[in-house]
Parts: sequence; C-alpha cells; structure tokens
Amino acid sequence: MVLSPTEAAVMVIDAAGGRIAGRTAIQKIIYFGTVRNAVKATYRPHYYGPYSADISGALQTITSCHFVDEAMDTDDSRKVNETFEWKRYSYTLNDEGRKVTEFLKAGSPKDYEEIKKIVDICKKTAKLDPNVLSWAAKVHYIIKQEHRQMTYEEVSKIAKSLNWQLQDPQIATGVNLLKELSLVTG
Amino acid sequence: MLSFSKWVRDPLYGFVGLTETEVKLLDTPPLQRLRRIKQLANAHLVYPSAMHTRFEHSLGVMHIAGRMAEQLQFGDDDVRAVRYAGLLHDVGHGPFSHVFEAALHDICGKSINHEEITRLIIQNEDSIWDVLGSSNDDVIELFTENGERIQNQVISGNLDADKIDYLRRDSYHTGVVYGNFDLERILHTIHNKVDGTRSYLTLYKKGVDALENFRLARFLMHAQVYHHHTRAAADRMFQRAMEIAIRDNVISKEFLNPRNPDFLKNYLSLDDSRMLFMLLKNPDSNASTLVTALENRQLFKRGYEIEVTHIPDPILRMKIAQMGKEKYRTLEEVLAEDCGCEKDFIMADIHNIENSLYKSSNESILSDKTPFLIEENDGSLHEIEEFSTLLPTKDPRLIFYVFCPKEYRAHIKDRVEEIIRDNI
Repeated sequence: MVLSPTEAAVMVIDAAGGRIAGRTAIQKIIYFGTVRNAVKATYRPHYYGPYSADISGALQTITSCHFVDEAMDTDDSRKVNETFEWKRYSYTLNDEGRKVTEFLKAGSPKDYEEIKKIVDICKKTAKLDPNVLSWAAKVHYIIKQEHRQMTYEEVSKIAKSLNWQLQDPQIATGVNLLKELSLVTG
Repeated sequence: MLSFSKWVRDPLYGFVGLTETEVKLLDTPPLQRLRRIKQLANAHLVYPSAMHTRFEHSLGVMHIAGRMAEQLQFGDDDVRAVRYAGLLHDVGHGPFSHVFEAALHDICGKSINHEEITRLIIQNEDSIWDVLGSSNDDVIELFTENGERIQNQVISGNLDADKIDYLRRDSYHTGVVYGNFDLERILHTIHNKVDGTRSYLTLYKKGVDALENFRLARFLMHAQVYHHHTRAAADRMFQRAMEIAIRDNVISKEFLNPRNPDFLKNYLSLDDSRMLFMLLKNPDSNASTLVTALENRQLFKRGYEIEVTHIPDPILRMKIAQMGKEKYRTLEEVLAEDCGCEKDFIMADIHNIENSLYKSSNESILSDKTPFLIEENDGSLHEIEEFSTLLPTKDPRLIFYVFCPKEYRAHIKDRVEEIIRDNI
C-alpha cells in the first residue's frame, strides 16, 4: 500500500515525536517518502525546492479536521536575513490526531516504518532543518531529472535554471543527507 | 487612446465600447459559441434567472480590463492586449462551464482545464489568427499568473478583471446580493507600483475596505451560489451522465480525446444544448435518464450530508476527508447494493468552500499566487494581513454529500457512516 498525502502528513509528525516545525520540512520529508515509493504525491520545482500541492492540501485538511494544532512563529531576524520561512508554522498532533495516527499505523505498519526511518535519518543528519532538507531535495530533484552522474558545478548550473541557488557547501550537505537516505551513491 | 467603433448595452456598465478589431474577434465562431454556454451551468435550477452566458461575461471582462489598464496607465499596446485577453479568456470553456471540465478530466484520465484549451484555441483557430495574427502570443502570455508583471495580474491575479466582473454579474443575475462590492472604489485605488524591472498591482490603503468587501463577496458567492447543494446535485448528475455516456459508448471517448487531431473542431462544436442532445441519443442508457431528469428538474436529493470538520468520530472524519474518486465509487457501489438502487444513481461528492483570497501572503506565494499588496502614502508595500480586521477562521467548509433518488434517502442516511467505517 502507498500512503495518501494526508496519511503521510500525520505519520511524519508522529514520527518526529508529535511536533514538527516548518511546512517546508514536512514537504521535503514526504518528498523523500515519495522517492522511496511510500507516499503518492506529485512534486514540481518551486522556490524552496520540490513542492507538492497535494501535501499543502493535506496539511490544510489535517488542520481543519483538528488532528493537529497549527501555530505560527514569526521571526523578524529571519525576514531581515532573507532566510526563507520567516513565518514558520509548527504542527503538533493533538489527542484526536494521535488516535487517527494510531489507527493508520495499525493498518499500514510497514509504511509507517518507512516514514519513521526517513524522519529518524533527517533528524539525526539534519536536525530536521528545513534549509538542509531543502538542499537535499533540490539536489535529488536535479539528479533524478538528469538521470546521470553529475559534478557539483553541473548541479549548481541546473539549479540556477530552476531559480534555485545552490553553492558547493550546500550541495555537499544535501548529498550527505541523500547518502544517509540511500538516495544517492558515490 | 482607443477608438471605439461600436457600443453594446450591458446591465452592469451601461455601455461597453468595442474597437474594430474587438468587433472582428467578437464575430468569430469560437466567441459566438459562448452565447450558447451558460455562465453558471445548472445554477438556474436554483436561481431561475441565472441564464446569463460566458459571452456577456467575456465582454464585461474586456471592459473591466480596459478600465483597469487606464487607471494603471498602460500604453496603448498593453491596453489592447489586456482587452483582447479579457474578451478571449473563457473561449476554451466547454458546455456547462466548469462541470464539463471535471467530466473531461475523468474521460482523459489527466488534468486538462479550460485555460489550456483557451490557449490551444487562440493558437490554432484560423478565425482568431486572422484577426490577431502573431500578436496572439502576447495575449496568451497574459493568462499566466505572474506576480512581477502587472499586465498579467489584470488578467490572472487575485484582483483580476475576471473576478471583478463575474462576482457582480452572477450576483445581478441570480438575485443574490452578496456578490456586489464597491467596484469604483477598487478601480480608483489600484496602482501600478514599479520597482526596477518589476511592476506590481497594488491598492492604496484607502481602498482596503473595498478590498475586504471584494474578498467577502467572493466567499459568500461560493457559499450561496457556486456550492449551493441543489446546484451541486444537478452538476453531479450531469457529470455522471457524461461518465455513463462514455462508458455506454453514447459518446465516443475518441471524440473528446485531446490527442485526437480533430479535438479542437469537436470541442468547438459543443455547447450546452448540443451536449444535452448528444447525451439523450440512446434512450436505453442511464445517461439519457439522468439528462431527462435534469431537464425536468427531477433532481436527486441529499441522502447524506455532513460538514466533515464537525464529525465527532476522528477516524470517520479522516476517512471522509481524504476519500478520493476511487473510494467514492466503492462507497456508491456498496450503498447501491445495500439499498437496491441502480448504482449509477448514487453519487458521493465533497465540496470545499474556502476562499483562496483569504490565504496569507506567504501561502499565496507558495502556491504561485500573487498576494494582495497595500501601498502606504510613503510608497511602502504591506501585506493585506497587516490591515485586515476580518481574518476568517482557518477551517474551510468541507461538506460531504451522497446524492440519490428521493425514495432511497432514508436508507442512505442510516447506512452511509457504517458502510464507510467497514468498507473504506
């Protein structure tokens, strides 16, 4: 079975310990889930990296269905420094959300295991930092599109054509996470 | 400055002026076809005077695009382009407007919308090419939402000529007053803010209340008209009739296949009446039964209706909120068998009544939409959230329906939740 975007969204939050900060983080973790065939969602390139309207809709669904509590933290320093997500939403599973997640986990234990594995690696390697997750997802998206071995310079060049800025250290950090996720070799 | 050669009466604007080229465009078969496509599909079954068509709406959008362009001080070429785009923006609508789009999506198995078909028609239709020539590309370019190019925002943005016209026009023709708003105030306070190579459509702060009026009008028209439950039942019946017609080969799937070289010719041959006529072709098909029922306003009823976010059981809430097309079909079939109804006549549907105009600027940008920008007297730009005192709840109205013939209502009502719990 492949998880729906809604199922994946609550499972990711659960696997992260019941709370996760940043829509971008959720988007990118589920992106890795789709690459590993655990989730069915469509992604396209966006400013912050691969973006899925399905996942965006799923976050709206789980919020309006009261499975999570959504909070917004506005950080003006992030705005001044022009880092993305200066308005960051955090999602916390509430009692009803936990009940739903337990039900879903019981129905799809293997899929949950896969999601948990991805979240654990992203936590250990990237501390669920949306920047790092985004760099990794961008690099993966480019490599997948090109379907070949690529140098950092080539990755950076294609990133530019997608309006993404990827410097060598960011590519290296992204590749490191992708290796941990077994999504690239070499 | 444009020179108008013809004037036509319009109930909203008094007179709408047309240049010679616009008259020629208006006289092309693809635009004349819009006279035969109702703006609000089956809404006339709820609001009897909602019989207006895509044709008069297109004239209205052209007029408003021109007025916006004038206020934003566009050059003549840009004024012409946005007016042509306004006139042509709906030329790709199929019979019954958006309802047909959903049916076409089911038939093709891929997402194809009227905007794409509009582009195809403008690119490939000889009669339009004869009028516009190679400038048709400038018109097509305007159909893409582009936050950095103000000409695009007049045609495809949060505060575009399309919405400005259809809310007031639909309000006028349905008699539902909620769609009205202070048009003149909006037109008076929009501004072309230039920043380097970019230009933004902004609204001076004194227009904020008119903008709030506009946003609320859109939400209320969605709640009252576009998602009215009776209209929802009628639209679903039409959509099902289309599915059945393809299944029973009443209409050939190939006829509506976008890969068919004759696709555009076939598509442009369709309008509301011709579509119904085709669906009635085989009296033994349930497509014909459904269309006959629609024509006589023998509409299916709400066997089950629930506001999803209010369902007490979270598991059931989850199941319904994320049910897709395949699961609807399973539910419909199990329910039909359970109550002994013909399975074509049970129809599950979900309506998400949200107002995308209330999305935060951040969310708008993420979904490639242009946020509303408010301009202070000192020229500084701000997001609408900084001024709005009318921020709505985050929860959209998510309503789940199961429509059925009236004799099965009680049975469906009793059984839906149990069947979803056990089978979905």
